[in-house]
Amino acid sequence: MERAGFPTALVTSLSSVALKVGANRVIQGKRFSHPCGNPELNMKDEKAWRLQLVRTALRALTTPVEGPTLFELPA
Amino acid sequence: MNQFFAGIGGEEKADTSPNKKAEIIGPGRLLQQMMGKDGEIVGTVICGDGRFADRMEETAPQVLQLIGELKPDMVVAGPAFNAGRYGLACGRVCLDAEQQLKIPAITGMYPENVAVEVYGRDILIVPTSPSAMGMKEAMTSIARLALKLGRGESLGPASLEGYLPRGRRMNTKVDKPASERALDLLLARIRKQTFQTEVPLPKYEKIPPPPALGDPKSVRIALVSECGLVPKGNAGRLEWVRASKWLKYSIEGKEDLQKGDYEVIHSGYDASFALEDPDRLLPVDALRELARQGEIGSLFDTYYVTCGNHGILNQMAKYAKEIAGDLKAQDVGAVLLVAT
Amino acid sequence: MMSLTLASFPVKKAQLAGRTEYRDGLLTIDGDTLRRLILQDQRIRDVKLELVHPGESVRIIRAIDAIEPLTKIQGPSCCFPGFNGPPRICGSGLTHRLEGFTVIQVTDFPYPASGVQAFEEGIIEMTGPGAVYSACSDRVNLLLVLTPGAASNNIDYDDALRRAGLKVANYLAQVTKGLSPPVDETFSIRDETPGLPRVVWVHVVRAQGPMIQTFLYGHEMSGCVPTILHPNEMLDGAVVGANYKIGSRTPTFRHTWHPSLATLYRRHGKDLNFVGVIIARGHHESEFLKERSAQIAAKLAGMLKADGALCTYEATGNTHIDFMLIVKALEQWGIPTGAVVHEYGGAEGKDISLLDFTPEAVALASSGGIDRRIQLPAVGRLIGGTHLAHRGEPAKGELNLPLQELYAVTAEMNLRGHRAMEY
Repeated sequence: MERAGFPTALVTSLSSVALKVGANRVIQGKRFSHPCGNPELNMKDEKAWRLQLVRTALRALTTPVEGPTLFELPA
Repeated sequence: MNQFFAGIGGEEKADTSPNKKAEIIGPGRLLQQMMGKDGEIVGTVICGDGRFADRMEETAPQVLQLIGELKPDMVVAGPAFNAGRYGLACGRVCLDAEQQLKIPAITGMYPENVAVEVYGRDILIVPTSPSAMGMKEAMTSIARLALKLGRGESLGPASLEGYLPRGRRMNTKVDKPASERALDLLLARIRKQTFQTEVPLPKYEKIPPPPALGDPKSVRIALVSECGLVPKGNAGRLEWVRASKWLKYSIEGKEDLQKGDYEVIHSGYDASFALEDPDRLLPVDALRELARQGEIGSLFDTYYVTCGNHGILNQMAKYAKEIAGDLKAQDVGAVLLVAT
Repeated sequence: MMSLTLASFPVKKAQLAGRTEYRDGLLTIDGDTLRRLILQDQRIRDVKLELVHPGESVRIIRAIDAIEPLTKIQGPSCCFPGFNGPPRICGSGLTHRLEGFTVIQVTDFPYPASGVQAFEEGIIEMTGPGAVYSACSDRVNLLLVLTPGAASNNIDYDDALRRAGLKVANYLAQVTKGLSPPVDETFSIRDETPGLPRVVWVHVVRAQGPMIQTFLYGHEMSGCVPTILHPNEMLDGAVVGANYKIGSRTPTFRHTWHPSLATLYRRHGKDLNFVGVIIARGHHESEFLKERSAQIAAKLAGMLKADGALCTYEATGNTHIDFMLIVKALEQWGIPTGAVVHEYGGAEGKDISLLDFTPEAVALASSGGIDRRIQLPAVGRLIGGTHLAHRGEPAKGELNLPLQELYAVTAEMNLRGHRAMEY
């Protein structure tokens, strides 16, 4: 995707692997069986959490980076 | 053989046209001597290396034609040592002989010859010294391997047989279990002795980061994933391991992904969370919200998916390239890629 | 501390007849008694017993676990504690084993399963080109071909078949009670030789959930942090394999005699001091859990004052990542590693061979590429079904497969000296 020129936000739980292989914009996801989900929260809170996740992805897409960079949700 | 080793001349004769002789010429004598009774050089094809390298597409077939006329069982090209144009010519000749005449071919060159990078994955190259000072050593190895190839024998690993590795890691058998060998490596390290790892670590290509989005409010973002989420029924027949394809599905009009509408074709993770709410894999609900709030232009109404379980990297790269082509045609500006 | 005498009774041939008896390498098995023993558990409705010897033109599919019969003759606890007896520490006293013999459950699971819980075939190929890659091809195998009974779900049935296999293993090994063994060896790491490096074996197993599990003293390891075992506990069956995912898995008989343990014990007192086993699970569900486990493993090695760690693992993809994090944690703790890795790389070995790595993994031995392909001929006899479980292909005729579809292939390739090299 990046080679084709698309700014790409990679959401994954395995962020260390993603950074190692050279993905430039890596978003820390939850567990690998639900990278964009947080089932420990109730439905309303989970939706709010997921919105934060995609906002973090958007932040990554609008941030200039020099190389593999990790973006995490605010605590 | 180029013009120099054929005794025709130096740089000024680099444009010599392809020609053949039913004789043994120049270094061929040494090669014949090394092979003894086991092999016979039936002729020599000569071409100026400048001519070959500068006009490769017209010259290569001409050289190949001449080789064919001699009806050999195999071809030896060069050795080219560190000569770049000669190396490229030897590389191309070997490649053509293998692919078109279907006969084995071998050459020799210095490992840093530019031709090694071009042809090294496809043909057999014996490593040589940079200059013709190493002709005897080069021909010794070439003779040995040429006879093996000519007899139809398969070659062992590069380091044992004496040729440059071609980037193929194949299985072979040694006399000690891997655990024993790993222990030997460990003890060597503890004793501060030299050791050689059997598995070199991969080097991943550095891809420069695409520039950041200037104006996200107008951007169309696409969802791409290897999570194996497909509409129930898996009409596209995606495989749950070693997928042979990628698929795309419409999410037009969907504010979020509903339980019951999708299934997960991927055996590498517990799908129960995703089946409960597929937005946990593909965050359609959240991206629709971003669009409603005006933070992004829109979520592209098609998502792209494959199954990454035991995926072969070359194939995954191919799918990505094809998907990227599709996205470009649809005016997509950025990608959200989800990995499980 | 613990000293275990392991008396080995090699089995060259077995037959189903009359009374259970062992004499001069021939094991005679009373099939009726065995059937009654197995069918005590109502979760199993029926069983057919098949004996398969090396060199026979036989292919076995739906092979579950493979167990080398062990029984405790003298000393505390039992073999396969937690299953064949209470979870008391094993690894000392006298154990008898039927060497070269395996008990294998062959069965379908009664309830449909897909995705992560689906059974994946590991084919046992007794002869032909596949035999050198398939575990059990050089052993005499007793197949328990089971028909599921009143099991409430696949996990329940899995428990039944495991207990049946381990019970049979004990019953058969018991036949050697009172006999004088052709071979016996005493295993102990009590004596340490000053000046020789202290080496620990780090054994990474898969324990993710049902069908992808390893048991320690009769309980799942999925919730476990890394822990320390005396090597004798492994010899006595404290660890039981229940990982039914393709190719790279460790059946119980490989836990009770693993190439890493064998080499360390053989060299104990010669060029190293074998100080213990650290067992850890892989395939943790998050970076956080992976890192936490790797740290704990390294710390344990440090507390054992290890000068080096021999590291091996089973399984694929995700567990590679855990494994490399463990290697990294050990190296950063100051403990050098030597590790065995199996490789990928596609059918021609042109693709990247390691799915994950860490720059600290500088000393790797290869147990070969498991996605190279092999052409298997048609066989005279197929046991276990008619079609491959995970691909639906008819299984008796010619097959073209990646090596990783052969049974317990990575440990087998390790043991037999297969490795990948550059061509």
